[in-house]
Amino acid sequence: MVNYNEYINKLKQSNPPADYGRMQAQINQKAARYSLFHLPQLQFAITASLVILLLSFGFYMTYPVNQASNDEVLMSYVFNGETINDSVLLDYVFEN
Amino acid sequence: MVKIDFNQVYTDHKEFVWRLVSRYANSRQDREDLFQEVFLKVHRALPGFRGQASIQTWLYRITVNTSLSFLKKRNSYKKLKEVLSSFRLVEVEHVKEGADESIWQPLNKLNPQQRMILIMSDVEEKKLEEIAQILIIPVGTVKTNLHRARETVKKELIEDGKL
Repeated sequence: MVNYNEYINKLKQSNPPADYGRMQAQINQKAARYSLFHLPQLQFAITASLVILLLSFGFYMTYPVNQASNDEVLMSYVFNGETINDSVLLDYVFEN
Repeated sequence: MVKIDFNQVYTDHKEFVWRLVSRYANSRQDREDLFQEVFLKVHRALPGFRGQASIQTWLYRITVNTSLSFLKKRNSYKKLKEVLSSFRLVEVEHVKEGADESIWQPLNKLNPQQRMILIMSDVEEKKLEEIAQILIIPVGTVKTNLHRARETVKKELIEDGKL
C-alpha cells in the first residue's frame, strides 16, 4: 500500500516541460480561423445566397419558357417556332 | 458581466491546465493537442462566462470534460487500429516513450473513465461527490470505478516489479 502511495506521489510530482509561446500562437491561429467561419454576418450571407440560388433554380425550372412544346401556354407558338413551321395553315407564308 | 481577456486567462492559468492535461494524456503530442483543445474551448466559451464559479473551477471542469472525450476518442482509435493490424491492414507504430511517459504506463490498462476518476481522486485529491458532480455520474459509479482502477494499477505495479 505504501508503494502504491509512493507511485501516486510520483504522479503528483510529474511536470513535463511545455513550450507555452508556440502553443499560444497555434491556439490564436486556430481561434481566428474558427471566428471567421462562425461570424453571424458571414453565416447569414451564405444562408441567404443559398436560399436565393435555390428559389431562382425552382423558378427557372417552372417558368413556361423552359417547358418545350407546351401548347397550352399562351405564348408557346413564339417559343416553339419550329413546330409551327410544320403546320399546314402557315406553310404558304413560309414556303413562298 | 465582467469582460475577461483570453490572453490574460492563458497567461494566468496555462501552468494549471498543462499540469492537468499532463496527467490525462501520455505522449507529448497528445498533451499538446489536448492543451490546445482545452484553450480553444475556453476561447469560444469565455464571452458566456458569468463568473458564478471561480475561473479556476470553470477551467478545471472544461479540462476534465475535454480530456475525457479526448481519451475516449483515442481509445476507440487505438482499438480500431488494433483490429486493422490484426488483419494486417495497418502497421502498429511503436512509439519510443521517454522516462516521463513510462510513469503513466500502469494507468494505460484503465478505461478513460477509470483513469480520470483515479487521477481526480488520488492525484488531485478531489472528493467523490465532487468527481460525481463534474463527470455527471452517480457517486456509486465513482466508488466502483475507483476501486477497480486501484486494483488494476496495483496489479500492473506488481507485474512491472514496481510494488
